[in-house]
Amino acid sequence: MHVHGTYELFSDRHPLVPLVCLVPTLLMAMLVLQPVYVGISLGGGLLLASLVLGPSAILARLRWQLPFLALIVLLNPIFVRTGSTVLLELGPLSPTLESLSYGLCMGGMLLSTLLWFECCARIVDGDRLREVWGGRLPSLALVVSMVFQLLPRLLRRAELTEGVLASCTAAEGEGASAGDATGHGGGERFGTTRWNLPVRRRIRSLGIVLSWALEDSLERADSMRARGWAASPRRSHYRRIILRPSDVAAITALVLLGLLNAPLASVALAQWRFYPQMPTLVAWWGYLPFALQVLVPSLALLAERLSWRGR
Amino acid sequence: MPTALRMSHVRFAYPDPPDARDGSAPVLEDVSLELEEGDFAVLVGATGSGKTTLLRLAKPQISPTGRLAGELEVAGRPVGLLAEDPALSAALVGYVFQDPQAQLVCDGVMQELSFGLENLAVPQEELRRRIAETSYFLGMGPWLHARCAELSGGQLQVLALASVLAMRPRLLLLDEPTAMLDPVSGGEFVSLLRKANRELGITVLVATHAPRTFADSATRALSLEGGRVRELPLEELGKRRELGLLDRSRRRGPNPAESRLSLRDLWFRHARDADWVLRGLDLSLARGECRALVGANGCGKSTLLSLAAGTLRPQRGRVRKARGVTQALLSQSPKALLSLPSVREELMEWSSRCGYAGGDVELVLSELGLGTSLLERHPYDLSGGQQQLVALAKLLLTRPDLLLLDEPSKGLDLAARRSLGGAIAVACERGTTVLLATHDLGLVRELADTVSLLFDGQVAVTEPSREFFENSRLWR
Repeated sequence: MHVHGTYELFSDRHPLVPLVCLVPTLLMAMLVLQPVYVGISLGGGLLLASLVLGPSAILARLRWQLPFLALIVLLNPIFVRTGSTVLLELGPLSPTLESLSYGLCMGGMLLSTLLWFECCARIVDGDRLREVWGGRLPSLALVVSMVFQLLPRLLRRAELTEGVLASCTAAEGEGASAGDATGHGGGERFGTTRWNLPVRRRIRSLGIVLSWALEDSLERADSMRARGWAASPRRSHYRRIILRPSDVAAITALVLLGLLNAPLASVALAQWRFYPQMPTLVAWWGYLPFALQVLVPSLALLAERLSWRGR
Repeated sequence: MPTALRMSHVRFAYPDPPDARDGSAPVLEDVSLELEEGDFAVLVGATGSGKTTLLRLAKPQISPTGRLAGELEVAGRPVGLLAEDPALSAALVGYVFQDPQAQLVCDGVMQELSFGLENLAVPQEELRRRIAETSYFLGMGPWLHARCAELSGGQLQVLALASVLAMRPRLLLLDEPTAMLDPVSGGEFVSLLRKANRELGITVLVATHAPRTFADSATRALSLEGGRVRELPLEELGKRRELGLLDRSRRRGPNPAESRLSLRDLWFRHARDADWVLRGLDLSLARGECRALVGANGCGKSTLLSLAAGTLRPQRGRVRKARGVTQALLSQSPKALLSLPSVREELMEWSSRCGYAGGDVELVLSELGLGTSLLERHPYDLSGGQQQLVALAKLLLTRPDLLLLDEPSKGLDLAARRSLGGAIAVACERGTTVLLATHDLGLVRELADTVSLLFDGQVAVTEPSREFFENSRLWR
């Protein structure tokens, strides 16, 4: 069970507030390929993620993300031969500074996009999204939430059925034996006397999980009809939070900040290129509004935490 | 007193299958029944006797298709009227299904509560009042903001009840609502149901295989047999029914000299920062032994089975099995084993690998009291109890040396429990070692050689079955 409150950014606000606070940054983290912008969104993303997910979760993610990043950085010079500053002469492979930086920038962008996505998903969860959409499109909101429930449920079931099938070593026929026959500290997960057993098992469990889900959906449809689904042309919506003037003010401010950053980013992008040679980066006031936008959620979280100190 | 539900000479038959020659026999032959407002009626009847069909006929949105004759009225309105007006039907008749999980639509408790009301376009003010009242009435406050996926089976079923009660129905129909719950949460569910019946005056009709759970709450007892409903004396509900398995003293019993499975000093938790589920557990089973594993909900019975099966790995300790021991595990969801288009294919799936033939399949089916008429049906068309038995048949056919069973008798009626117990006893006679995690003490009493009580991550007591029940103050 997750603990509420640890990452509930703007929990005393209408859910539109965290949404407009995070989505512009997420979009820019995905779209603006410029070293300073990538650096800012990556730094801000790491900060927010460490507040929201906890440092250990970040480390766990970096463990697979960093090798991936290294791969992108190293592969890019192999495929892209443009760029004028050759770093090393390695026969046919002569990596250039430009293509290396491009790979680095690209990897950083990918990392920060993942981080922001995860923070977004944690902070603006299904409940909050429904609060936002539910009033206007209650049926669509419901369908979307059902789709989102489906995947985790399928995965849980797949794990269960694979476990059950793997437990039935008796079904593997002659020569198969229980994996732990030798009993070395728990032993292997299961005995595989034939190489294709795990594959067969996985295919079988996929079939089971799918027909199970279909069967469930019949009962769920009955349960929906029994409770008057489609009984009325319009659905109403239970609103837990009311949009108040202070929320509107916060939303306006955040939207304006986002709107200011869009043209600034396009200016920065217009002045930047990787090939054939990168221009020198200079200090520019235009980065500050973006830095502010990136830091707002973390600052709000920190301020909230500080306000509980000493109480 | 006004009537909440009236059925008069109702006859119902499912549509004829294309290859049937003389038309299918009606499920309901001639059902007449009258429930007065405020009744708490319990409907019993064997698996496949038509209990679900009867309930669903009073709720036209989920009625089966087929030939229906006779008169049906809910709160004085003919059912045809409810069929035309789903909103009226939703507001008058509530329906709670057996599977706590499959009937929920939303991912949050609050959304689920408001789902039905939102469908009826209930305005905001009224929505708030109804949700507040329902949640207060059923004491859902502590988990009102939880995700449905985090709730226990008992809580899920209370939520299903709540989401129906919020619509303020006059009649509540429940189809085996406690079948998937353990006795404790089943009892809690029934007490809430009784509260709704007494305090809100809602008429309740519940179909069940476990009438004892409802014995204290019911005001009417009905039985569906041969397509007709007849009134039973209320005392019938509370009777304890023996399974009538072969006396343990006449069975061969375990062979203590031959150890099959031994667990030594097992420590297990699901994650590094989680609590220990098992802390230094020891357990050993002999050839031909039937060991029952009892204990509270969430005490680690299922985890222990997975560890014994080797699909989970202990953080410390050893799981030892005799060399060459084959095993099979029946999980709480029989569907985890079934998905082929017919019972025959399902049961023959492992035949070439395990070396059994069609004759063995028929033998096992008759041992389990299922009969060969099921062979051509799709496993999903069977009742929950029959699915459970087919899954067990599939495992028994592999002739495992070690059989791990997780709540095998959940949701089964008396006859099915009897066949299940019989088949397990036969397997033990053959030398299979059985580890049986269950809440069904009736089954344990007649089937198990030994009983282990699991508590606080360890085996608190292991005793021969008879002594265990004699020494216990709680289970007698």
